[in-house]
Amino acid sequence: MNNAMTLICKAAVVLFFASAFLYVPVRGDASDITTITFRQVNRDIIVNASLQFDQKIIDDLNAGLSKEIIYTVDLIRNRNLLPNEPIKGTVVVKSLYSNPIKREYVGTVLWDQRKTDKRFKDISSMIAWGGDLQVSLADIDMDNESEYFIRVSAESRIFALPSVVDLLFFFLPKTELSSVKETNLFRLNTQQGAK
Amino acid sequence: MNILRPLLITLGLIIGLVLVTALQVHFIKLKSLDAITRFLLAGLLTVNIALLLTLVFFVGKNLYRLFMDMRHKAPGYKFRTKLVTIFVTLIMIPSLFLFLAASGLATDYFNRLFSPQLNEPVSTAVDLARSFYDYERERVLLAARHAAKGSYVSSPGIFINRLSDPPANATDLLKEGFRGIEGAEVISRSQGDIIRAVVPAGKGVIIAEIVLPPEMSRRAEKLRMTHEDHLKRVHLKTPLNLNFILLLGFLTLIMVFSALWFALKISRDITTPIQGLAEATEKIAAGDLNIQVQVTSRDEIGTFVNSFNQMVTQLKESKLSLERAYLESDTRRLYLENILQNITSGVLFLDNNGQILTSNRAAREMLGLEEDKVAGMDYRKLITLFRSDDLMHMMRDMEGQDIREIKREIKVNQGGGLKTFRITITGIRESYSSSALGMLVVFDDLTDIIKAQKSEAWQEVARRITHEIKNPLTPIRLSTERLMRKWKNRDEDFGAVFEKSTQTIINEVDSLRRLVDIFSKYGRMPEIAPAPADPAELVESVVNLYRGYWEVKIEVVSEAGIPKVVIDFEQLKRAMINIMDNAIEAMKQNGLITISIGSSAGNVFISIADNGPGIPDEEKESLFLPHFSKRKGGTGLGLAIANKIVTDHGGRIIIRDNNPAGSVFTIEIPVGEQNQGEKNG
Repeated sequence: MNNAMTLICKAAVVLFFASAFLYVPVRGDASDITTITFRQVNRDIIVNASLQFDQKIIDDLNAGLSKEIIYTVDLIRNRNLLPNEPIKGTVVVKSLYSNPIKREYVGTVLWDQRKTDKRFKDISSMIAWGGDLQVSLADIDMDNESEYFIRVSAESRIFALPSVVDLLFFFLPKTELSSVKETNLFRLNTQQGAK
Repeated sequence: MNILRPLLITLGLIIGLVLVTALQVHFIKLKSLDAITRFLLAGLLTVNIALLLTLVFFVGKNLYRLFMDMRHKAPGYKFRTKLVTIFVTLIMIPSLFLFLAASGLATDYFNRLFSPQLNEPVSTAVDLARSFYDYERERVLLAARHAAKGSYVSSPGIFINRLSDPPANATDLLKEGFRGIEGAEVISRSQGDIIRAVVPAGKGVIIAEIVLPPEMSRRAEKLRMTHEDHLKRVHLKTPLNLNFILLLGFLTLIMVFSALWFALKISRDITTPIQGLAEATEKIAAGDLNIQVQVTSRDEIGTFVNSFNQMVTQLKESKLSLERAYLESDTRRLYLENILQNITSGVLFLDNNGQILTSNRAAREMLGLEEDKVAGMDYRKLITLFRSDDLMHMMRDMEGQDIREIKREIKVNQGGGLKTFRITITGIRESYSSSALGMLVVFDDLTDIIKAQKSEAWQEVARRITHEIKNPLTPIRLSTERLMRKWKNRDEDFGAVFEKSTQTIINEVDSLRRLVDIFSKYGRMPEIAPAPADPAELVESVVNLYRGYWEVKIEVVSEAGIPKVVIDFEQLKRAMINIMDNAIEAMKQNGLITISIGSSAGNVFISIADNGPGIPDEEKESLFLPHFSKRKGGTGLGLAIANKIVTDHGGRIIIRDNNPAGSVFTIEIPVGEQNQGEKNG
C-alpha cells in the first residue's frame, strides 16, 4: 500500500513537471527610449522623451498591423535606505493605425481622460509622432531636501491573438516592446515651485 | 519534537512558495488575465519550478553518489551503473526519435499554416482593393485639378468645393493644400468612406470629395481585418514553433530525468541491501556480531537479507554459547588442575611422541625435578635418570603396543635409595576404538607403605609364632606337672600316665620342630643352583604331580620356540607347586587350571590361570607377604616362598584377574644371557 502511494505521488510530481512547460516565456523587443529631457515650469514638470522604434515594428506598420504604445511617466523621490517614493505619475497611450488598402494613417492619443485623433499623410510622419512624447506632471509637492528622478517606460501591447490560440498558448508574450529609462538624480527648484 | 521539525520545514516551504508567487505576480505583467488566474498560474509556475529543481537536485545527488561509488568501487556500483545506463538508453532512444519527429512535424505544420500561398487570395484582394482606392483617389484628385484650372469635367459622385481660409480642425492634407501642396486622403466612416483631394487654387484650395457606398467600405474594412489577422498569425509563427519545440524538449527532459530517477531509485533499492550486507560481512569478519542489516522490501532481496540477519543472530548465539562453554570448560580445567596439583599421586601426561606435556606437583616432588625441566622432557630421558631395570623392561614392553591400561609396581633408584612405585599407564582416547591421543601416567611411592606393611606383617608373624610356640608349651607343662604329681603321689596309674604324658610331650615337641623347620626353610632358603632348563619340562614335571588329583582339570598351552632358561629346577618346581596348591584350594579342588608358556623380550612367562573366585584387589598387594593367608589352617608362607624363589631368579610374579573368573599368576623369568638365541624345537 505504501509503495503504491509512493508511486502515485511520484507520478503526480512528474505530471507537475510536465505542466511546467506552459510557462516558458518568449520575448522580442529591441526598441528603446533614446532621450529624456525635462524642465520645471513653476510646480509642473514638462517631460519630453523619444522612442526609437525597431525595424520590425516599422515593417509591421507598413504591412498594415496596428500598434499601441503605452507610456508611463513617473516622478520618483530617491531614498537611500527606504524604498523610493513615487511622487507623481501619468500614463499616455498612443495608438498607430495603418490601413494599407486605403493608405490611411491615423494616430490616437489617450491622456488624462482625453482622446485625440490625428490623421497623417504618410506613415513616416505617423511613426515620428508615435515615438515622440511630451507630457507634463502638474501640481507637484516638492522639497529642496530630496533628490528626484524621472522614469519613463514604453510598452507595446501586442495584437490580440486568435481566440483558440490565445486560449491554448496564453503564455505567449502580450507585449512586443518594453523599454524603461530613467534620468539622473536632480533637485527641484522649490522657489520656482512655491505656491 | 519529532513532528515539530517537519512541520516547521513544511510551513517554511509554503511561506517561501507564497512569497515567490507574489513576486512573480508582481513582476510578470499578465494584465490581460484576472487576478485569481494570475495567482493560480504563478503558483503553479512556482510549484513546478520548485519540483523541477527538486528533481534535478535529487537526480544530481544520486548521480554524484553513483560517481563517488564508482571512484571508491563501492559494492554494487557496477550493477547500478549498468541499470542506469540501460534505463536512460531505453528512454533516450525513443524520446529522441519522438522529439525529432514531433518537432519536425510541428515545424512543417506551422510552415504550412503560415505559408504565403495560403494568404494569396487575401493578398490579391488587398492589392485589388488598394488599386481601386488608388484609382478613386487619382480620379478625385484629377477632378480637383480640373476645377482648380476652371475647366469642368463630368465626374459622377464627386463634389467640388472651394475654401479660401483653412478651418480650425483642418487636417494635415488641408493645411498642406493651403501651403500649395496637393494631395489626397481616405477618411474611413461607417456611413461610407470619403475620398478627399485638395489642390491649391489661388489663395484658397479646391476640395474634391467622393463618398463611397457603405457596403464597399464595410467589405474593404473586413478585407483589411482578414489581412491583419493573417499578419498576426505570421507574426506568431516563430514563437509558436519555438514554444512547441521547447515543450517537446521539456517533455523529453522530464522523461529522461524521470527514467534516470527511477533507475537510480530501483538500483539503489537493490544495491543498498547488498551494500549493507557487504559492510555487515566486514564487521562480522572483524568480530562485531551486534549488527543487523535494515531492509524494508518484502521481495527476494528482503528474504535474503532477513536470512542473513537470522544467520548473524544464530552466529552470535553460537558464539555466546561457545564463550559460556569455554568459560565452563576453563572453570572445570582450573578445578581439575587444582585437584591434580593437590593429590598425592604423581601425574604425568605424555603426547604421542613421548614428550611430557603436563606434570603435577606430587610428580615433580617424587621425581625430584623442577617444573621447567619436566615440561617438554622426553620420557626416555626421564627413565634413564632412575636407573631402574623394572622401568626399562616396562617401557621396552610398551614400545609399539596399543596400550589401554597397564599397572605395575616397579623399583627405582631415586634420591640415593631404592624406592617402590606403583605405576598406572592409561592410553587417553576419545572412544574405545579410536587411537590414543597420549598417555596418562599415574604413580605412587609405595616405599613407606610397603615398609609399614612389612613391619606389620613381621609383627603378625611374631605374634603367631609366639602363639604357635605357646600352644604346645601348655600341654607339655600340663603333662609334666601331671607326671610330677603322679610321681610324688606314687599313684598306681603312674606308668600309664607317664607313657601318655611323655607321648604328648613328644608330639608337642615334634610340632614345635616342624614349626621351626618351616620358618627355618623360609628364612634360610638353600642357595639356588642355576642350570639351563626347559620351561616346558618344568611345567610337565609339576603337572604330573597333579594328574588325577581330585576333580581338577589341567590344560597346558605352549608357544613354539620357547628358549631354555637358567634356573634352579627344583626350587622353581617348588614355587610352581605352591602356586598350584593355592589355586586348587581356591577352586575347592574342582575346576580348570590352564598353564600357558610364552616368551617375549628376553623373558619367559609361565601363567597359571584358575577359574576360582579370584582375589580382591586389596589382597593382591599382601598376597606374597609371609604368613598372609585367608585359608583356615594355612601358614601363609606358600606364596611368600614362591615369590622369594622367583625373585631370587631375577624374575617376578604378576597377579591379575582371569576372564571371566579366577586369577592368573604369571611367573616371569629372564632367559639369561647364555641362553639368548637358544630355542627349543
